Amino acid sequence: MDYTMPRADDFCEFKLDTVCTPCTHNPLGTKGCGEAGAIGSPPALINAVLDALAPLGVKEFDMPATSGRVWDAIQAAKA
Amino acid sequence: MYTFAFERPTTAADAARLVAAGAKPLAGGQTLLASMKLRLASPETLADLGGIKELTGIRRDGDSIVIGAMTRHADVAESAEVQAAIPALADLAAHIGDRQVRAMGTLGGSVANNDPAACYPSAVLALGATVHTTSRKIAADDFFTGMFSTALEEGELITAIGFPIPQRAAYMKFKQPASRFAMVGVFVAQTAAGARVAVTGAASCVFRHAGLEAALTQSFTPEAAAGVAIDASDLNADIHASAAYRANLVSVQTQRAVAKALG
Repeated sequence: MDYTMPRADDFCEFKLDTVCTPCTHNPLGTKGCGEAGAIGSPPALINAVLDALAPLGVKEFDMPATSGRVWDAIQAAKA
Repeated sequence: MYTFAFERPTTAADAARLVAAGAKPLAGGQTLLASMKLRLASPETLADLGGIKELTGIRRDGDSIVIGAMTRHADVAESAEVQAAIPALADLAAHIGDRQVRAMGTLGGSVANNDPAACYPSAVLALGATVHTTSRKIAADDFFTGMFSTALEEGELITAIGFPIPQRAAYMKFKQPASRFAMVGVFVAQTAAGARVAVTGAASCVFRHAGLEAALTQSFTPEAAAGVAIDASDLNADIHASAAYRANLVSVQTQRAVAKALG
C-alpha cells in the first residue's frame, strides 16, 4: 500500500524503436544495458525538481520526490 | 487456505440474523478478502450479501437519490440518475481505486468499513446523507464515530443510503499514488441550509470543517476557502505527507472543489 510498481493504467502509450550500436570490444558485439534506464532516470528527475525549485531557494533535494517532500523542501527554503 | 463456512442469504433480514450470530458480512470484498489473505481476519462464517436483490439499485425519492448498499462503484459512476442529480457523487465513484475495484467494491461496504482515507464517507457526510440500516435510519453526522468505527450495532447492516440533492457539490481527491486512497480528499456541498465541507484522508476519521463551512456559507468562492487557516495539530503524519502538508492540501483541495462545483 505504501509503495507499488507502476501499473498498466499508470502509463502512456509507448512507441518502440531500436537503435543498434554493436560493442567493439568483444567478438559478439554485446553489452549490458538492462540498468541503463534505471540509472539515468533518477538523476534526470531530481535535476528537474531542483531546476523547478531553484527560484524558491531550494539547493539540495534527495529522493524520493513525493509531493509531500517537495512541499516540505519549499517550506524549509522559505523559513 | 483455512476453512470457513460460506452463506448466501437472499434477504437483508436473513443476512442480519447470520451476522448477529457471528458471521462476517461480505459486500464487495475489497477490504475483507485482502485482510483474509493477509491473515488479518479469519472469520469462521462469511455471509455473502451479493445475492440480496433488495440491497441493489438506484432510485430518486423526492429530493434525494437513494442508492442500495450493494450497488457497485462502477454502477454509481455510470448511473444517468446520479449523474443528473448529484454529478459530484458519480465523479467520486468513477475515481475510486481502479477499474477492478470499482467493478466489485460497494457503497455500503465502503461506508460500513469507514476507512480513514476512503472516498465515500466524505460524500455521505458533506451531503448530509441518511444511512438506512436493517433496523433504523442514521444521520450522517451521527454515523462516523472514529477510525474504522461507525454507529452500526452488532448484526446491523446498511441497506441503502439516501443522498439529499445539493444545489452544487464537488469532490477533489489528492491521491496517494501507490494505494490510490485519498491522501486528502475534500467534498464540498452548497445546500439551502449552507455549505458543508467533509475531509477524508487527513485524520483518523472523516470530519467536517467548521471554519471552511462558515466561510463558504458566507461566500461560496475559492477565495473564501483560501482565507481559512487549517489547524494541522490533529492531522495524520506518515511517510507520504507531514501533518502540515496535509493541512495545506485541505485548503488547496477545498479551493479546487469549490471552483469545480461552480463549474
